[in-house]
Amino acid sequence: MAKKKVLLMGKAHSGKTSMRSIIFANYLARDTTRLSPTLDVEHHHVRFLGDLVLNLWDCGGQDAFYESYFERDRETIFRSVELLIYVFDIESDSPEKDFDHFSGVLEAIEENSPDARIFILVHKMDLVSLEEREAIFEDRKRVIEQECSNFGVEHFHIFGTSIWDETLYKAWSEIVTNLIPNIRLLESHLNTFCKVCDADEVVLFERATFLVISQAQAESSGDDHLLTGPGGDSKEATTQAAFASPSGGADGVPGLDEAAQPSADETNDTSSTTGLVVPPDDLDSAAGPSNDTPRHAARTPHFDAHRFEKISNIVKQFKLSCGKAQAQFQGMEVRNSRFSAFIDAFTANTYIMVIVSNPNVHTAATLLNIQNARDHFERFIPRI
Amino acid sequence: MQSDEYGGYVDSYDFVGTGDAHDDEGMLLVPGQPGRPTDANFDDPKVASMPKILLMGPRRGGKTSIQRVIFQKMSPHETLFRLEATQSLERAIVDHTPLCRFTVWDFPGDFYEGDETVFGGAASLIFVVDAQDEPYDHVLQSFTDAVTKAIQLNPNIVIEVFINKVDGELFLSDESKYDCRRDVYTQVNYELEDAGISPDNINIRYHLTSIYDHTIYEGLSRVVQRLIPQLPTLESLLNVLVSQCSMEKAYLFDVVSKLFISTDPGPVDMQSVELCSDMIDVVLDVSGIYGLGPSQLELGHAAAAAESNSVEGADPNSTSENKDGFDVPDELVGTLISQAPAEDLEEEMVDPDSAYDSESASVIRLSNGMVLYLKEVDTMLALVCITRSENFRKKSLINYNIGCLKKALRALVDNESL
Ligand SMILES: Nc1nc2c(ncn2[C@@H]2O[C@H](COP(=O)(O)OP(=O)(O)OP(=O)(O)O)[C@@H](O)[C@H]2O)c(=O)[nH]1
Ligand SMILES: Nc1nc2c(ncn2[C@@H]2O[C@H](COP(=O)(O)OP(=O)(O)OP(=O)(O)O)[C@@H](O)[C@H]2O)c(=O)[nH]1
Ligand SMILES: [Mg+2]
Ligand SMILES: [Mg+2]
Repeated sequence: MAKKKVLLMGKAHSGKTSMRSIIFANYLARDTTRLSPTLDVEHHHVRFLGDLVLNLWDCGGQDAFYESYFERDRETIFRSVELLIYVFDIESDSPEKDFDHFSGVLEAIEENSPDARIFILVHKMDLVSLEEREAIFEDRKRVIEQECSNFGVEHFHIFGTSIWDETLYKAWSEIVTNLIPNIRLLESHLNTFCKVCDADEVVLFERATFLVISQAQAESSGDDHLLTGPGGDSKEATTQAAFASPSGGADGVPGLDEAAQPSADETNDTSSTTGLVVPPDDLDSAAGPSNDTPRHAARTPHFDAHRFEKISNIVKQFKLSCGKAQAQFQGMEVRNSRFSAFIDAFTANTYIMVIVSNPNVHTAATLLNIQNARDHFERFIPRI
Repeated sequence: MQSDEYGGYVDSYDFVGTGDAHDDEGMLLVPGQPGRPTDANFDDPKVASMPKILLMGPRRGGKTSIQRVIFQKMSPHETLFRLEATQSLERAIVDHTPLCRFTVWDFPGDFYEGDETVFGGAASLIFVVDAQDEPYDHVLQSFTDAVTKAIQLNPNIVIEVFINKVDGELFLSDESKYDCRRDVYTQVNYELEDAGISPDNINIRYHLTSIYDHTIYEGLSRVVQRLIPQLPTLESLLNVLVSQCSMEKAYLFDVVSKLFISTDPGPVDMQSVELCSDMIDVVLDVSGIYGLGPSQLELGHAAAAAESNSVEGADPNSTSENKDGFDVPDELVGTLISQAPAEDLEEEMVDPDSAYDSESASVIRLSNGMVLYLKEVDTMLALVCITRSENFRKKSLINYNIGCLKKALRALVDNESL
């Protein structure tokens, strides 16, 4: 178990506590209007991926507190900081003063925790009209970059955020994945899994926060994809066997999945008994590109660049709705004529989303693959 | 009264992401429904014959906010800075799904004039009161004037009092909400009697609403349900479905407005309605990301061409796969292939734009052993069922019955348009 100290700083009323509460304490955006100003420093320990404990120092932003942060408590605050998150309010009425605090913080961090990673959020972007947002953000970014370079700070990330849209999830996903070691290994396994499922993409989310921790896409070019044909790639074939073992048939899949299986009491459509859970051989052919697939050749389309954050946001909202109805969300499928999405509890600390647009891939096969990959992946979720 | 802005058509379709005027125009043409207006002309007999919902009340009561939030997908907090006082009557057509069509008339604040043309064909008069703006006596006096006029011209009109803005600090407890409703109720009755109208002789209902939560959907759902002449038939159809498939509950939702237009006769638990309505959000949002046609994705020219070829191939595709040995009558989320007659396929192909299409479906599993199952049953109409997971195993039975329901709904609509 690892504890990492995270400093959350910025001017009063800039939205620090709001963000923390939405990401880690299941607040709805509208609940944050009831927050009162933070007095001094509030400490919160939040768990991420089971083992990682973030020790959040939410520092109240009123001027009076900064005096003690910079003087009396300087070392306590700024020592052994793993990560600094500094929040600017886009609608600040005194930008100069914001920068006073900011440079003080940079100085103190450089002095006490020179290795700290630095994230800067330009927050409440929703208050700027959509047309101007990009320009105003770039402008603010330039000023901040200038300030950082004045203090010799070179490595930092800047995000525009708002609690009212998915930008919040984008920024915090980046922040948090920065603390996870070995994320590459996970990614490569996810890539394999994506291929095996013949999925368009696969995304892993952290269970409690629904922040994105890893993702994999099918190769974007259809030609590339054709090269890894069935049988042509022995590595793929073996991994596949690991996921969809023949024994993983009927009894391995609980709950809803059983619905996919023809059972005696169903309407007497005998043809359906051909088995919807595709055995590995069938899966093989279903997973590989068949000869008649102009439809899938160009099948990884240019989806929305912000889709993962949007999904985080959508599912998190829905989880909260379930909570209000005294139930807990377990998993879902959504489809129309063009795609199927599966979002399901995966390992102990993650959710998985699998997107499939190939109509030859059976729902039951995808569910079975998810089911069988669970244990396998449990090993690759980084232990911290 | 000159600016007839018609939001229902254009704006409420915005969620599928078509922005330009050309596409919007396309939206007005709904395939398979000859004779539908291609322009929002409120004199058109088709439009004029739709039931009217009137929104009246004091300035800043929230009339326009309600209209925008429900029918044009404005987010509630946007109403804070995006809306100005309404200067003249704004009318909108709501026509997402064949069973549920009406027009909404949003009047300027404190405007209670109206003659035969206003009150004549109106099914409901929604009077929006600001619950956070006490005292109400002045407001309720004008209310009485409007009601008097309305029932003179149209004795069948239903008066719906929306006690709006029951949210925030003042209304943290349920008690404070009920107190507020009692206050308004008492004062309305007093005013009406004063004006010589016996409250017992008019159709009047009270709703506590807020645009920040689900209560506004609940209130408007109840208003809209009254407009549907086939309501009793819908209820009995849903009743049959629920009992045949041992479901807990089934609702029909207009997926664009998220108003529920009917349910089986069992008791309605608003919490579960809210969950179903949130499920619709999830389905539309996820489909909007992964399930849009090529035109929304603005694919390159070649890719778009390839994809549109395959759209033609897509439906035959689903049958051509079946040829290799077996019919797939019931995939996990079944596709009702057997029930889909040729015209249906055709209709689906002419509308490749919507993320909500004839194969839209969703399953959500909850830890308490319940399953939410959503399925498209008509254009922009969703059936959302709540069922125990053990009863959900008979999936093909459920899908078969939903197929029957779908046919029956179609017949209801066709009958009406004859
Ligand atoms: N419009 C908008 N308002 C926001 C956003 N984030 C937070 N707010 C609002 O900003 C106000 C202040 O938020 P807090 O989270 O208490 O601010 P803080 O930075 O913790 O303030 P201190 O504790 O005093 O330092 C609240 O009313 C929030 O609802 C945002 O992205 N957009
Ligand atoms: N708290 C709260 N505010 C609301 C609610 N509904 C509307 N408002 C706010 O009330 C203000 C006025 O809303 P409008 O929709 O413009 O009111 P209106 O009745 O159309 O006003 P006129 O056009 O002048 O008659 C806006 O700032 C809304 O954000 C609600 O349910 N709760
Ligand atoms: Mg705070
Ligand atoms: Mg208005």
